Amino acid sequence: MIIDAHVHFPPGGKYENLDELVETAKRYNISKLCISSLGSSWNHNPSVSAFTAANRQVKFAMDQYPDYIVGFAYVNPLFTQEAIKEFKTCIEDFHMLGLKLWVSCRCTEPVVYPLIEMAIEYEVPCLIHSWIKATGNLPGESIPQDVAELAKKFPEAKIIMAHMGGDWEIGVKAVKDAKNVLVDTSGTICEAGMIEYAVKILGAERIVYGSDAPGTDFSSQIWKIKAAEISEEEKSLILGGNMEKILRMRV
Amino acid sequence: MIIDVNTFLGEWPFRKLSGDADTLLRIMAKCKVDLALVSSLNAIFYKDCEEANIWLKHILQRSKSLIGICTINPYFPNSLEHLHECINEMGMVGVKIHPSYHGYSLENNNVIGQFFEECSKAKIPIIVPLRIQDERSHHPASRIPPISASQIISAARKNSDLKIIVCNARSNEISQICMKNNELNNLYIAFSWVQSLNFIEKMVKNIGSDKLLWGSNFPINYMEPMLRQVTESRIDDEDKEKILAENAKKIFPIERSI
Repeated sequence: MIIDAHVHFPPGGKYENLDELVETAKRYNISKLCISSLGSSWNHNPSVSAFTAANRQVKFAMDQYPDYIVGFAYVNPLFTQEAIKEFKTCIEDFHMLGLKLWVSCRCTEPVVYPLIEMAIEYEVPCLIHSWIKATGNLPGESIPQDVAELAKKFPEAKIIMAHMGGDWEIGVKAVKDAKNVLVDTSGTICEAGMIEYAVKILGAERIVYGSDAPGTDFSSQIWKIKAAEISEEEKSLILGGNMEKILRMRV
Repeated sequence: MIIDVNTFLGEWPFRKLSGDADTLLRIMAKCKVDLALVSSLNAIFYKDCEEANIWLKHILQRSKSLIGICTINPYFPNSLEHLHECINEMGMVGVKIHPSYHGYSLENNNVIGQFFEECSKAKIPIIVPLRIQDERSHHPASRIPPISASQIISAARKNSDLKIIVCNARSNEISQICMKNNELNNLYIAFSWVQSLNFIEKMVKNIGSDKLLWGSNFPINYMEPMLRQVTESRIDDEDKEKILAENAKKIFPIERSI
């Protein structure tokens, strides 16, 4: 079973592109897509109306493909009360199964804490964008060390650090001791050895396959795992086994 | 047949890599890649690329599946003489250049102009990787900006007899380059970076497959995911054959390889 832990509603919000995304995913035998929307314009600091509209795109996608798409709620924690209300709506009314945080503020900001507490209460994972960039981070962009700090503060939270932290050598080592953090393999970085390194440092149980489609193609992302020199059992855990276990948290 | 037009052998100073010939040949066999056009990774960091090219030639003698591509810094003294040695005596079939790592731009001037002219006269194509590693992951001691698509377009326009193959380009950079495709018959793209959803299908639909090739960027990148982007795309078999081998056979004088 393949579960893609990191997919986005197509930028620009074109619904026909959603069909292309799902059709392509099915061609690669992907069983479920965990989708969040960053809105139509991918604004780094989205307004309340922008992130609520983004979540309604995901709701639409879930309605279109009810057994296929798992929704992740996207909010801007800087609008704390509205973000809490929207997260509640997404989980309780829209039946989404995760929280997505991007780059409006670093995940160590106290405004993030109530959302993490809610995620613990709802038993849903938090997918947190993280990257440490040699070219310079955005002001609100979490680095892997931030994710580790947050995870240690909330040991009951199930946190997925996106993109293995971007610079995966730093990312993987940064979260090594934060046992409630998993990493996803998504993104345009396809460097030889990255999967083997993550398995060696974290163990396959702490890695989930993600693509970041439609910014990437499923083929390159799935074959990162399939081509890695790790055991078949480890590949199976990464491609879907671990995420299946996480998504059953609510059941 | 499958030809990988963008591989390296050698050491990368910032991370342990398996950039040896045995590993390359093993992975080629696993991926059913028949030929690899190989340049030296060390040459990116050497001031004098000649030593790296000689080392590479020695290594490549181990297998006829490995075809030499020399690395030249046009600004290094005696580089044109060494270029001709690489082509005529060492049997190398193309030139790879690294303007950002070697500290120059492709803006037209006498040095670049003469170098391109010599390559053109020798009917030797030039490979230009826009980057080697994602610039966001660069080591603090070596933060090297990528080559811009506009520099490539300008160089292709000014040197219309010279075949230029662009590697390691993101989808948006490829789109930018291919907007000029109709007017630039000498500019080619080798898919050797992670592309966006169904990008290869869209490219073939928009510009055809005559100007497209494939490369892995081994050993920096995994080879198989790069290859699967092409083999698993929904394009005609004829287009796949062109991208994976036929266009490379036309562009590179592989028969010259010693």
